[in-house]
Amino acid sequence: MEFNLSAESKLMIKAARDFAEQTIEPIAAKIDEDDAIPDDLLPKFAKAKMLGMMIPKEYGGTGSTALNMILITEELAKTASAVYWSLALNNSVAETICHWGSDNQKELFIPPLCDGSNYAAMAFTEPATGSDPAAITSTAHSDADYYVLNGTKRFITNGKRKGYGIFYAKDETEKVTAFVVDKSSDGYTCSKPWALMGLGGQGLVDVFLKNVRVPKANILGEKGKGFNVLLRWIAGERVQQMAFMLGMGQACLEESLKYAKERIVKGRPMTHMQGFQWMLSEMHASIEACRWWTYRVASKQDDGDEIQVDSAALKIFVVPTIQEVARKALQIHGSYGYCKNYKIERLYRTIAHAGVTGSSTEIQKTLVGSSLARS
Amino acid sequence: MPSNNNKSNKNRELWVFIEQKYGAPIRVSLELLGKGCILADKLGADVAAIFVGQKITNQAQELIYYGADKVIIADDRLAIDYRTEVYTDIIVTQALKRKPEILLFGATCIGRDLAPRVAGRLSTGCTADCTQLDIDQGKGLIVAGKPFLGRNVMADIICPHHRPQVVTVRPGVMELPAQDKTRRGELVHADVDFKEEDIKVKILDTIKSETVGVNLENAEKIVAGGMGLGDAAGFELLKELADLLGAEMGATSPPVDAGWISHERQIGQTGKVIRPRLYIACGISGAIQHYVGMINSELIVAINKNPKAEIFDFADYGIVDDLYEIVPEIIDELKKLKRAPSH
Amino acid sequence: MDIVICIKEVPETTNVPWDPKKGTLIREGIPGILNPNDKNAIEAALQLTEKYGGVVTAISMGPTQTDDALREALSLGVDNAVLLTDRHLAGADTLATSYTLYLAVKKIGRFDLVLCGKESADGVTAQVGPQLAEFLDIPQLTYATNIEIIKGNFVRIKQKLEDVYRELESPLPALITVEREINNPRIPPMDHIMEAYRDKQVMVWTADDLGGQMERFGLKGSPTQCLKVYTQRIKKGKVQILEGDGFMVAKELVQILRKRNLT
Repeated sequence: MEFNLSAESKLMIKAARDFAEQTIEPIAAKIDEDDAIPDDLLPKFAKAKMLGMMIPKEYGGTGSTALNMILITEELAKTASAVYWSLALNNSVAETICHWGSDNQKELFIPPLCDGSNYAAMAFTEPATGSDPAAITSTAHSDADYYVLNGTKRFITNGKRKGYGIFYAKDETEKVTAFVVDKSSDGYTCSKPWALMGLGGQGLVDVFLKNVRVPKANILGEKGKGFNVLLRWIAGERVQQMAFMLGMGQACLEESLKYAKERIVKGRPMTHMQGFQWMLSEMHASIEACRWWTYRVASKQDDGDEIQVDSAALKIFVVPTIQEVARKALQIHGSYGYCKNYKIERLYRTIAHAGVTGSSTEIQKTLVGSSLARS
Repeated sequence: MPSNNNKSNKNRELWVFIEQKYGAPIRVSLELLGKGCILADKLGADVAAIFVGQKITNQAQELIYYGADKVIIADDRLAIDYRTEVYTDIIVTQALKRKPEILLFGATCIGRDLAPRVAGRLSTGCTADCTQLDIDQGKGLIVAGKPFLGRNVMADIICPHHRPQVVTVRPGVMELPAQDKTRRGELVHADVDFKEEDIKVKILDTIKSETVGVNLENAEKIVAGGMGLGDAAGFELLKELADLLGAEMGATSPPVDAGWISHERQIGQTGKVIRPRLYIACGISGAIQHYVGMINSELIVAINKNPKAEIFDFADYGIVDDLYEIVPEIIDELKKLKRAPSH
Repeated sequence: MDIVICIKEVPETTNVPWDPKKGTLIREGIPGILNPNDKNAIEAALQLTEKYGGVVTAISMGPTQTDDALREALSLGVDNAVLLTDRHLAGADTLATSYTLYLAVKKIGRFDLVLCGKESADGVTAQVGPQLAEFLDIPQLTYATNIEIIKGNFVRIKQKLEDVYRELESPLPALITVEREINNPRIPPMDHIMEAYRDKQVMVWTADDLGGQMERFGLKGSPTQCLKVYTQRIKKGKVQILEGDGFMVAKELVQILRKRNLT
């Protein structure tokens, strides 16, 4: 069991840290407040070869591993910014197309997701359902060499930004099929972005599909077996989301330490008080546990193992654990933590998202519980 | 200053390189003449100033008043502005002839460009940017102390077997000696054997920096702020106090790192060493890295709301209070003083 | 424009253990980083060769873990990397270090420029650049905030002194030390990091490979020695605390200052 990160991974972490500190951190608060990510950020990710971490070089990727992608995600996560989605989605959607796609599809759809010109999207959720495939109402009617898509998708990150998305609709057999859709297609429109508690700039929109014509060659994976595509993507996405939480948790600890070392209470820094030492130690222990488990699941992903249950169990643990880290961090900061000019304010709001997005923790418990029951 | 009415002419020499700006010796070189005398006494050596420039011969006497027993002068048109090749050659030629025991340079930009090259050519040791100097009389060695790896430790460096022992010394640490106009000394002229065509490096232009240099090292009074200020705006309050006192502004390294104030104002181990008559420290804990920068201040007043702050261990006067409460009061008092007719 | 860069791996923290018997640092096993000032030198070299063509070689003297600093240099874009490692080289002061680097540069062969960071974050002597230039018998241009190649084999720099800038020109070959403000070092892309570790080689040279005189290497070849390392004692005096209302304290302080002619 090799627990040490390779020298190569460590250098990637360093490079990702410098990238986050120099390129994202200085503008993170503004992105959140303006609810807008600058257009030149995705090309910068592409130039740093961070967008296709798991994609073979022949399709414009970096040819690295899920673990390395998680390591750099953790570094970027410390900025507590919706910029995370730019990294996460392009990586995971490109990987999904790489796994299920034909050679033609790979050549056509993957390079634009790696070169910084296109924003990826994954569109399953609808107004009536987030996790129940039977309840989706988007339809796909066959018409010569095309499928015609109709329906509404809700809460789609990058739904409006230029590029490709994987959309799920029921075909004539009432089974879910996955389609690669060009977002600039006729009949494809979006709502204004949802205004969120945090993650300003995420660009979360409703997508309205009105007779959107999609070539039959754009079916991803087997016709009627779209749900398998979704499930596999979701498992990987959970690991990414937990890396996001992990990085933010680490940032909570670092901010708290900075604050507690300087703030004087009764003549001594707060770090001298046992109560605060206990809080800080609990935060540290929590983050370490989340970290190594997250790395472990990413490692299993690289080994080609099935990670549905592992990633769900990971999420069950990490979400409340890091949310508690954020709560302690806020307490340590006292009133200052509630002020917008302290980073913990944004961290706290951003960390709040993970229990209910990308499938709630309750769904994870059902998944793991029923798996245990079947075993 | 020990007098030297009888011209000594001892064989051993301790050299001090006199750096010049616009033909006049700079302050650190004079500081080193002062320290050099003390060291030379312990060593039983003469102090020789080595002075390179153009139209500088008339300043030689002043160097003797500051403590030099001999002044080796290289006065030449080609030496008007510092160039490594010219100055290195002059110093090395003289050093090979006269074989000094010790060679001191101020650790200025020029000093740190020149000293290692000279030491390299003489195949001897060079110790950089020292803050303490002493003589080990038993071994006749100079012991150069310098802060080590940014911690609160010092390292003592020696050069036991090679000569001269070359050391560069941080400006502002050694005391500026007083002039003794009764001193007499010897003038030695050093030949400058260069032709301009032979010198490889040309100086095309010299431009004064746009930012007016902050001169903390020469400041008589300094008001400094630390992390206790809480944010950059705290320095505005301190500036009001500083202006009323006619003082310069200074800072410890954390506020500089946080971007609250420019690096030129940093006092301490990785900043400037100062020796003002008055030093007022506001919201400064007194950690060692800062201590080494300001400990030579004549009068230290510390304001900190933490009664256990280290700074109270070495301040002369202390005020345990929130600086945002007390500094405005001090400002008011000073304003009152300025308004009142003097008695 | 063939360029040699001298880089150093420095400890990541300031808590490096000390060997009192040898008077040297125990660097092995301490996590290291590429000296930040050296990144400026690498960036300057890459910008020059991107403009004028040429080969960039990075050399570094240190224990075997220094390989990481050289891999980082390769990931940034340098063409070749050489590690000088040997127990005989250890414990070197700046003179012995410069001598070692000089032999390595000689072995590399032809070069137009040697670039160094002004100083390392741990030693902070800023001496290796000038001493290496002395061994190579080439001009040294220190504290560069700008570098320009001039036709006919010359180089010009903007040199930062305390309160002036000077424009210096020198024929090539020359050695330049760079200030941190000269540029913003690039960040290596992920694929270059992989190539640096998987596809590229770091050449390793020992003292024997360098030739030269063994007695001039390492601790033996160092004219300066560390006599001792000790904690600085803080002068303990008696502070006089001014007590009372803010208004009274302020008054008392101003009186004290006034008496000493400090107002």
